[in-house]
Amino acid sequence: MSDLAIQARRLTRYFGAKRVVYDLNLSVPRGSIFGFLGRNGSGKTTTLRMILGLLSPSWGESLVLGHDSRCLSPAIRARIGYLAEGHPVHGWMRVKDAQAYQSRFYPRWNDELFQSVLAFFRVDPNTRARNMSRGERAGLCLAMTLAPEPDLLILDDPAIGLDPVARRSLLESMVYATRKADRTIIFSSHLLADIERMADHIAVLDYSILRAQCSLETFRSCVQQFVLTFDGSPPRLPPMRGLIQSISRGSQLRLMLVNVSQDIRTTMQGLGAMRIDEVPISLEDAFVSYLGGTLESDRPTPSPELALSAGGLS
Amino acid sequence: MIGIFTRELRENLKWALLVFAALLVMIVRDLREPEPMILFQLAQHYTLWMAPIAGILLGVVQLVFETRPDNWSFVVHRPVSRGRIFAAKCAAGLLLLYAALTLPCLVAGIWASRPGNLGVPYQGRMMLPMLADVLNAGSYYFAGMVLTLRRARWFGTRLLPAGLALASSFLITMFIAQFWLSVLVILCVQLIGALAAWGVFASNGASDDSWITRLALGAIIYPGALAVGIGLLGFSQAFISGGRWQYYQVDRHGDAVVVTQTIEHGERGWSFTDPAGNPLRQYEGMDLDDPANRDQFVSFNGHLVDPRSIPWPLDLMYTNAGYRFPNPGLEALRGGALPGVRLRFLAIYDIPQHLIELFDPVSRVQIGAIGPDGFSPAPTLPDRRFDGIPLNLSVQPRSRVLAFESIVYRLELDQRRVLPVFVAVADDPVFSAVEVGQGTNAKILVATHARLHVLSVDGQSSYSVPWEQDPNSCNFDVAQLPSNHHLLVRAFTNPGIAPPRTRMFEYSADGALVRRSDLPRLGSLGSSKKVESMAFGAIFPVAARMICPAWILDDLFDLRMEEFQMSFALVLWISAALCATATVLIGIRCGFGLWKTLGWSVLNLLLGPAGLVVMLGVNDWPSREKCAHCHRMRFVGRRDCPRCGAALAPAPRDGREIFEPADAFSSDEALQAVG
Repeated sequence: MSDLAIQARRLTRYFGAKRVVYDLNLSVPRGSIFGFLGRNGSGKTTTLRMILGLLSPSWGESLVLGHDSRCLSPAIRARIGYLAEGHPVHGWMRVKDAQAYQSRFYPRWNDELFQSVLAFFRVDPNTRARNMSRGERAGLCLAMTLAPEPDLLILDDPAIGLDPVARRSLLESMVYATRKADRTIIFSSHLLADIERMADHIAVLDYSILRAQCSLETFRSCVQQFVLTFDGSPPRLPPMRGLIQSISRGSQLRLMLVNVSQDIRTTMQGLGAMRIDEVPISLEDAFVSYLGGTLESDRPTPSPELALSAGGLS
Repeated sequence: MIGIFTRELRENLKWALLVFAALLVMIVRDLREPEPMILFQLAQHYTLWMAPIAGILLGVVQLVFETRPDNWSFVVHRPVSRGRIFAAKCAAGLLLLYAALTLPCLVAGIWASRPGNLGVPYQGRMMLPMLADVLNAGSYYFAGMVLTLRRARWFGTRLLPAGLALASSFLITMFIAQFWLSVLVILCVQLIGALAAWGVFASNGASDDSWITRLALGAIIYPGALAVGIGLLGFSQAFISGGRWQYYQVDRHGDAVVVTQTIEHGERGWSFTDPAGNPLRQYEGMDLDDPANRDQFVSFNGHLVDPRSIPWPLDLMYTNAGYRFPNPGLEALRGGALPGVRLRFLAIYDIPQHLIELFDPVSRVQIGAIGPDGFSPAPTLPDRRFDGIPLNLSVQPRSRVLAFESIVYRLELDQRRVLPVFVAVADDPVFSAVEVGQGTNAKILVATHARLHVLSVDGQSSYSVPWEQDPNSCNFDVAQLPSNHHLLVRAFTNPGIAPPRTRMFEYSADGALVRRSDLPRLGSLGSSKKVESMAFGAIFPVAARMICPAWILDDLFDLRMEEFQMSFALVLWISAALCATATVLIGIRCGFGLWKTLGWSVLNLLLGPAGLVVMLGVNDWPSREKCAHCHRMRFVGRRDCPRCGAALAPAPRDGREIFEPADAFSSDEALQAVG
């Protein structure tokens, strides 16, 4: 048995002329909690749907639990819990109807787990899904996804639209559920706090291209911030590989860099700065800088704020 | 599967109840003041259109949740195959649909079967038209599913999948006389619809890879595209405000008159000539809309026709026989007494019972029955029954004549009896009979295959003449001339017999043929019919032209394709060639490959512009981008560039990549094993 829960090779998907996922290679270790990061429209949902065999890739292939995604049998699907984006559920169903309906399909249905997740979200079993708040609905969906005790749990932006309290509840439920079994969880989000709290591995999608796949610590250590202090105005920057952001304020030049090599350090030192300080950076800042920078000419124009902050690059 | 089935039932029950309640209210409202043939009318008035609406409604509401990809994922990502999910959905949907439509019809059927309710004998076949409509609702149900989930634009081809169901409705209501054949057509259409619906459901509306579901999708789109073309053509005719037409009338002396009718700016005018084209001054300025001029021309109110000689599908229009009509089950006898004598009962010819049955119109209870030997009050039945099936009653509903192949009776229903007036010889059976003229001049005309027999109303033979035209290839209008009471017979060649011609024969009181005239075929005036026929050629498929005779199209669409054969054929083939050329160009643009392009080109040469719509409907329009290697355009959905053969370039690296070796993709072998 492979020690990877998900493997994807050269997954590519176009919608019309729009390239949504491009040449994506991914491997998710069994038992990991895998955060799938990216901005809105970066291709997270499309990737997950291709991995689950719910969408055909333009080309490329993937394996889930060692089986080809294109033809997952019902038995394999029983081992995969999937919480789709937007918490879909039949609105007319009461909680107990949803439980009765869903439990029919899964031989390993854990009713105790279902009830405990519902209790965590304080969901009344007699409420109809359409009358629930977003948090309650998310709780119901999560309960329905967790109760079959899947080996692989795929959660597509599970915290979308939730207030901080509900989001915290959702994440705690996930932790509660995962730590009880050797279960792989892959969940997508664009909220760093969620990822930081939950994930041990991350993958970062940037406009259809996978840019990073590593542990959280590695990501944090690879993105570094330097402040260069000059005697006067900072000079014009030479091309630097790995530079994702530069902000010039007075005599200071703040540089955000990825994979800082000795060459880059030499280049920095060659700028004639009086001082070069490495400044600690939060994961959120690292992530925003990582995805906010624009380096390729064919990439869509970033938002005005990011354009301003990345002005030093051009 | 049971879970999905019950959920679907629960989820869509409200829509089924809505359909049930609406249909029940309409039916019960009509049952309060019933006509004798109400069960046929209920089909015509309600189920014919309610069933399609209900089918589309159920199909749409059942899949509207799945139109969002996330919801669809929620529905299909479970340990059940998509096929079983779809089957459970359809089983629940069809059960609800058929129950909602059948139960109100059953209420009507049970009501009608109770004595004293209907006013005519209840026959099980009276339920068949409603049953056929209800069954056909399933065709619309699958069409509704496809048009809900298939990815298409509303102003493009989204609604076209309803085309096959629509074609099925037309077939079973207008062109098919047998119920079993209608059921067969409906089942075939539903099978195709179900395959197409499965294709779009399994792929969440995308073009499915399976050729059979794509073929089914094409098959349900094609009639829709063709119908849109014909509809647009008809719509364009609505803007033509004027025109000129010619037709024949016969004056009181039996002379043919060519009437040219003109409509210009809403004003109607007529001019009159003889068949040679010489103006007839006596009719100059005559207004044919004026009731005072009604008697200027002979009215042919008797028809002699052998329906078996009329080819399908026009035989149904001539005879009004089939499972959607009372005939061949029951036929009302409206002309069973002398003019001015009012019958105090309703007379019905009961075809299975071979009897005329009389019903009280108030109590709707049977009074008795009339057989060849006379009347028997209910509940007794006459000892002797009529022999065989009555001939073309529906063509002459007010005739006092009841004809069978071996014998013809004159009806005297006010006296509660029938009188035999003609007995056919064994080798020359009757095919039609009718009464013409009024009062003392009234005659009974009996048409056998060899001769036309003219009788007085009491059955005395006046004369008998051989046919001047073969009755197996002609149908006849008959009239009595007001001026001299001569018999005028106008013979038309049956549809499909070339060349079409019209002849008139005038017989004197002693049976002498006093005049025989050929009426030359009148050509179309102006260019509108020619343009119409040519425009029809532009949208009509070559394949259909090969199997469908021009006279059917002329009759169905009021065209002149036989007259403008060359123009029609020219436009037809130019259009087909353009379609094939466009297909080749589209095939190259879409990178179809040689055989696929060739196949579609031949198909669209045969299927015409509607085939082109189908091709665009079942194939994705591929986008292109610049190849990173040769910088020429390549298809985005393909791995290799068709120009340079280079594989898709790997994702570009910009120095930001963070990949840990431990997580790097390393199981190529496993993937290759699967691939």
